[in-house]
Parts: sequence; C-alpha cells; structure tokens
Amino acid sequence: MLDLFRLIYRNALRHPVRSALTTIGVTVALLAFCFIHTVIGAWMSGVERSAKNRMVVRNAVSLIFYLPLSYYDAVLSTPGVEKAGYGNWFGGLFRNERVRFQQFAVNDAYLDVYPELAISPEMREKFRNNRQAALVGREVADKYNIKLGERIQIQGTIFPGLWEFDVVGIFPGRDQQTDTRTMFFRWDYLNERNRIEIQRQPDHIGFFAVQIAAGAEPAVISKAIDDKFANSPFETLTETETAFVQGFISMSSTIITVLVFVSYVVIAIMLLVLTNTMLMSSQERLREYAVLKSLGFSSSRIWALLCGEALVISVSGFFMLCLILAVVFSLPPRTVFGSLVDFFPVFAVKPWTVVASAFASLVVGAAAGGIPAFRIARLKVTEVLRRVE
Amino acid sequence: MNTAIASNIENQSPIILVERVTKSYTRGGERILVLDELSIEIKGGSFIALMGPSGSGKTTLLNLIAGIDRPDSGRILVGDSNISALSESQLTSWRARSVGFIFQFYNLFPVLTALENVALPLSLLPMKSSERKERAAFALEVVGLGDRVDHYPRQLSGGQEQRVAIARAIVTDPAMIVADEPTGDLDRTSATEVLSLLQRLNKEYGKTIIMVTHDLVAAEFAGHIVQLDKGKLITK
Repeated sequence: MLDLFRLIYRNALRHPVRSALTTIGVTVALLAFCFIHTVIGAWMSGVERSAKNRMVVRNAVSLIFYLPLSYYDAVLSTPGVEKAGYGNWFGGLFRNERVRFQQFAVNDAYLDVYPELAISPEMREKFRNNRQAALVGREVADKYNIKLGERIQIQGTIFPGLWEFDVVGIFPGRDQQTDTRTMFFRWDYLNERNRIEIQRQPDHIGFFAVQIAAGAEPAVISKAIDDKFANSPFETLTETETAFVQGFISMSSTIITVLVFVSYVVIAIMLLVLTNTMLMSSQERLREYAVLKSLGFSSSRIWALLCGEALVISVSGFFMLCLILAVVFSLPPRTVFGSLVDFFPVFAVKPWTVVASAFASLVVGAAAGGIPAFRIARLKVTEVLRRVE
Repeated sequence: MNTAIASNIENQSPIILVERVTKSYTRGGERILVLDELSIEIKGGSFIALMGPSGSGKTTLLNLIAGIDRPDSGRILVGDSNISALSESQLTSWRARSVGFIFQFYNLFPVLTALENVALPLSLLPMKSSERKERAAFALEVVGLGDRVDHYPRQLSGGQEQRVAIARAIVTDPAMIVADEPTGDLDRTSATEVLSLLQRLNKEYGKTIIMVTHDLVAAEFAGHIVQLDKGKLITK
C-alpha cells in the first residue's frame, strides 16, 4: 500500500507547474465558495442573533407606517408581556451628510428589552437626565472617532433639521456577536421637536419591542396584542424578532438563492479544471496504466491511483485555503474586508463552511480521478500497448 | 528467495496448452483474422522464441498466453487454469501471480527508483514492506544491478533499464515470463547481456520464457524457435 501512496504522490508532483496551477485553481474556487457562504452567513446572522423571547409590534400595513403611542399601555398590559419599549427609526446623516449609521429614538424602557447591550447604570442615569443624551455603540464610536462627552450633530432625513446630541455613553456588546453599530437617543426629544417643527405624526412611534415572560407562547401573545387593535385605523402585526428579521432578509432571498447557486457553480468549475488536469495526465500515462493492468493491477487499484492523485491536488488546495483563512482572519477585519464590515457586523467563516469546503475538495478529487479511471478501465491493454509502442 | 524463484526447474510437463485458438480484430469495419485455429503446447521450463513477419500473429499469441487478451474461440490452459474461461478480475489476479512481463520499451515508471519499480508488482501480494524491499533488492542482484537500487530510470542505460524490467518480471516468482521484442530497442552488446540473462533465468531458475522477436541472433538464445505466418504455425 505504501508503494501505491508513493506512486500517487510522485505522480501528483510529476508536472510541478501544472499541479501547482491546478492546486491554486482549487484554492481560488474553495475561497470563492467560502466567501460566498460567509457573506450569506453574515447576512443571516441577524436571524441567528435574534432573541427567542423578543417580539416586535409594528403597523400591520407596513413598517413605514406608525402606531399611536397610546397603544403602549395596552401592549404592556398584555398577559405574558414582561417588558416593552418603543422606538423610531431616525435615519440621519453624520458629518456633512456623508456618513450613515443607524440611529433609533427610544424610550428608557426600550433599553431594558435589549440586555445584550452592555449599558451601565451610570450611562442609563445620564441618559435619563439629559434630554439630548445619546448612547453610541462601540463600533460606531471607534469608526467615527466619537468621544465620550462630545456634542455631535446629525442631519435628519425622515425628521429634517440639524439635530444635536450629547454623547453620554459608549456601550460595548455583551459578547462579540452583539451588534454595536447603533446609536440611541431619547424618543421624547424627537417627539418634542417633531410636534413643534416637523409635524410628522407626533405622538406616534415606529414599533414596540416586547420581551415576553419565560415559558410564554409567542403565538398566543401575538394574537392577544393584534386582537386588541383589530379593526382600528392602526392595526398591528406582532411577530417574533426572528420572524421580523427574516422578513427583512426574505426581501433579498432571491439574491441569496443566486449566491448559493453561484457557489455551487464555482465548485463545478473546480471539478472541470481538476478533471481536465487528470485527463491530460492520464492520457500522457496511458501506457503506464496499461503496464499496470498487465502486471495485475485491477481497475479499482487504478481508480485508487488516479483518485489518489486528484485528491492530493484537491486536498492540497483545501489546506492552502485553511492557511489563507488563518492569515486573513488573524488580521483586523477592516484591513482585509474594508467597508464590507460595515454591512456585516459578524463576518466570520463558520466551521460548517470549512467542513463543506473539505467535503467539496474530497468529492471533487474523487470525481475528477474517477472519470479518467473509468475511461482507462474500459480500454483494452493490448490496444493501448500497440498504440503507444 | 533463491529457492522460490527456482521452484519450477526440472518441470517438463506442458504448462501452456493453446487449443484451436482463433483471434480476429475489426478495423475500419473489416474483420482481420490474426490467429486461425492455432494450437501449440509449451513445456514448463522451456525458452521459446516466437518469430514471423509483421502481422503474423506472434504478439497476439503472446498476449493471449499472458492473459491480457482473449481468444474468439478455442481455449488456453496454463498449468491447471483455463485462462480463457476466467473472469476479468480472476484473470487480473492470475496475471499478478503467474506472469512476468518484459516489454520492448521497458515501460518502467520514471518517478520510481529501480528498487521501487521492481517492488511494484509485490504491492499486489500480501507481504510486509521490508519483505518487499528484500525481494526486490534480490531480484536486482539477480540481474546484476544490485548497486543501482536507488537510481531512477533516466539515470540508467537502455540495457540496464531492460534488466530492471526483467527484475520486475521475476520478482513475484512467476512460472512464466513473456517478453515482447525485449532487445528491439537495444544495441547489440546490451541485447546480448539481456538475452544471456533471460537464458540464465531459464536454465538456472527454470522460468518458462516466451519471447517474441524479429532478430534471428536473439532467437538463437532460446531453446526452441516457433515460426508463425498469417496466423498459423509453420514450425515448432
């Protein structure tokens, strides 16, 4: 068996340039496969990160329509609802209208619904005491060099005008998975100016965030809340946070489907490249395989030789991929991925993706060796020896 | 090892029996009869030279006896085995045990050393790596290349390459060695060395050798010359 391994290994290195180029081709294909699935994973990470005990109440018609603030008490008093807060999407532009990050105007109770945001009691106290207070997420602060105590200006788009905030806290996430690319400020500040200057449905909010009690059934709570406002001018749609996030993602489900399809096309191209290399190699060595068959090597052994050789190349490609991933992910994400990290707060290759790449390299190796092996198995030894000699 | 290689000496019973064998090929839609109801009996331990003009069927007969081709009709018995009735996998494993091949162009594997080339057929047999090495080294000693074990084929002369190929043919201790124009690609001196070696394997180790050749000088090294023409036996 050792002799066969030796022959496999040396055959694989027989044309170093060809093997190296094919290995690089395999690596590039696996890298593309990994990248696509990492992007999809990052896209879906919101669903994974969404809390199972959190629900969102919004206008049944669309998220762009508001709900009356007066619903708050009714939502809060629904059996099974433990905590509730409300907020509005602000959508302002920071620094000369060039920079956009997400801002929410929220009430104080809203922050209780999101315990994964590590907002200290001191920050909360300052938030309560200053009408223009803003709590800025660590990623936003780091990226735009926002300092604690700084007064920042944001140009409103939905709520036009120049808005000024005092940064009273810069909060980190409870863990690395927590998205801290957000800024929160006080809803009453928004509502006050809205009522006086803008008059864009004052005393209305964008959504309620609800935390349900342990063991409570989300479907029951959802029905209970929505039934309260049925047949009103502002009917509600209450859904779990997971469903809410999925609703956003489903808007781009076609893109995701196309990306998945492209990732498999990449693997198919990798198979074709490797098969082409193996067909060229086996064609050049047809006489050697005929000799092996003469010596008593069965078709299955020749299959093993060819598949082994293809596997040496494809698995080498996989190891190169692992090496590249190790180097890439040891560097700061922004250095490697640039502004991509702004779109995807969680941009990491999942173990599943690496396992799938390993599996793809094994399957492609076996298939790429199998095709020439099948061809050789059908060839008559005497014909091959006669042809080449 | 020495005893194993010499196990067939003194055996004068017919080990190869070719009975009314017909073989034809189809080329361009036309059937070409290569062997026409040919029968021949080859005794164990003999050294036969198959001669004849091109297209006479000598290589086809060699291939049939070696089990790398099948007759259209008739049967071929080698020892107790009717090889024309064996399945493909049975025939493959029979070849691994019973036949040593020597080709005109040596057909060594350029990526393997002389020792590794010789040891290759042993990878089909159940034995330890150390034993394989030992047997391959001994086979190389037998052909006079004990000092070339680590040389690659490109580092050897044509004659030496053919001797490595002979070592590969005898390493599994087959009863029969088939050689297709073994000196066709060699100069006279190297050819004489190779033929003397085959003669020695036949005389000292009792190997049955069937050799196809065009060369009368080479044929004289064999004990018997068999002439073929148009798929029929002329002399035996």
